[in-house]
Amino acid sequence: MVFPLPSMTTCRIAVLAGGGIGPEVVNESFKVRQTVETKLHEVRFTFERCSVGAGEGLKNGDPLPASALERVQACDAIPLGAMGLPSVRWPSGVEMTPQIDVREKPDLYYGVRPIKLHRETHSPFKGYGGAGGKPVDFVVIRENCEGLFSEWLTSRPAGRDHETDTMKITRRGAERVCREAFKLSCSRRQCCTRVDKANVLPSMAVLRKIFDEVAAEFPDVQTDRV
Amino acid sequence: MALFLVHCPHAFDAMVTENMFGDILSDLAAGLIGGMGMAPSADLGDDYGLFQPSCGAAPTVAGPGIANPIATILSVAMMLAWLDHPETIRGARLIERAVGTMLADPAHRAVDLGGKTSATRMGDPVCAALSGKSCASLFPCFPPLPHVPPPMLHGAISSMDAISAVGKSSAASRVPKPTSKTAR
Repeated sequence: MVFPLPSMTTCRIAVLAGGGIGPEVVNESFKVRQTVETKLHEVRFTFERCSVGAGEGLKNGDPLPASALERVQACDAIPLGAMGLPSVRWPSGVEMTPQIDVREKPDLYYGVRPIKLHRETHSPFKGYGGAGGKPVDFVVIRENCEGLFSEWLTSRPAGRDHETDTMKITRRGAERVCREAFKLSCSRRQCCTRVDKANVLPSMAVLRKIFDEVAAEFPDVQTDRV
Repeated sequence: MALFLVHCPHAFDAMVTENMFGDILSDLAAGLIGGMGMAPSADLGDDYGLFQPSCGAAPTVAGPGIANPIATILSVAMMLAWLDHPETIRGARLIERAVGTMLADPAHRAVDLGGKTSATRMGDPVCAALSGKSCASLFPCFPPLPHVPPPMLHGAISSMDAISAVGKSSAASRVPKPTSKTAR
């Protein structure tokens, strides 16, 4: 009797170990990923290692070469160690930050940062974590492609005695990040908090307005404005 | 908001904010749970996902093996959840649980949390927990520990559940990859 082979899904993973502590921590996570792979049915991983980061910038002049970005984007997911090095700078004095390029070029518009306290000893405050302590378990969703970072790459006139950065909030940018935050809160405790400075900054007032509009699409989610 | 995060961090679930505010608040938030070495992150778009620890390159601690890899290990779990295949989602939960088991043993405290476990040894007890072995079996100097049940932290919903829910926002699983991506 012939048994049909189970269907196997292959995930292509682009590994960017990067510089600094990147390779150290990525190696450890690699061990864990390998061990978990042996426990999974129907899924296998293949890897492509790409050299990116400030170290690569020092060697070849570009911390995130277009060819590397192209290879990375052909993969299913991208685990990254670390990319910037404070000592490696462009001639303008600004740090080479391929970690920001790698968010903006493929339009990774929202950052998800789960904050969860695992042990009471990890908290600087008493009364959190452990059996009787209060939990810390929330997620920060950060807009990644505009806001105060919107024109960080724009060249500036030389010789000025001041410099400015622009806080830009677009309808599209605000809508999509708010929507993802609401979707995420639906699968959690259904509470979504908006953090802004809308009482002072007009750009933030736009963010507030759009947050409220998107909130109407999610009537089950409780909202909060801080 | 920064004040509330310090006074009542337990009161929050999801919060959304602008780029720079998010940068500042997520740094502060990492400080509530043991620092950057404990805080994973995912940068997501409609087509791609990037998964990294929040720590940055930290050149001052690179080299002697004292970096804490827990955030990186948890970011791999986020990646598996985002790939949104039933088996990768299961893998994400396995990793999260194994990290919880491993952290329940104070012997595995990382250097940045006042412990002595070096980066190059922290992945091993997570692997051991994944394999169902007692973490202590890798460290003969410690007596074997009873099996520690995975701590169900703060209710039934884990961060990884939240991330896999993000994955489900698209119609189908992330893998196999849609052909449209290769046409770019």
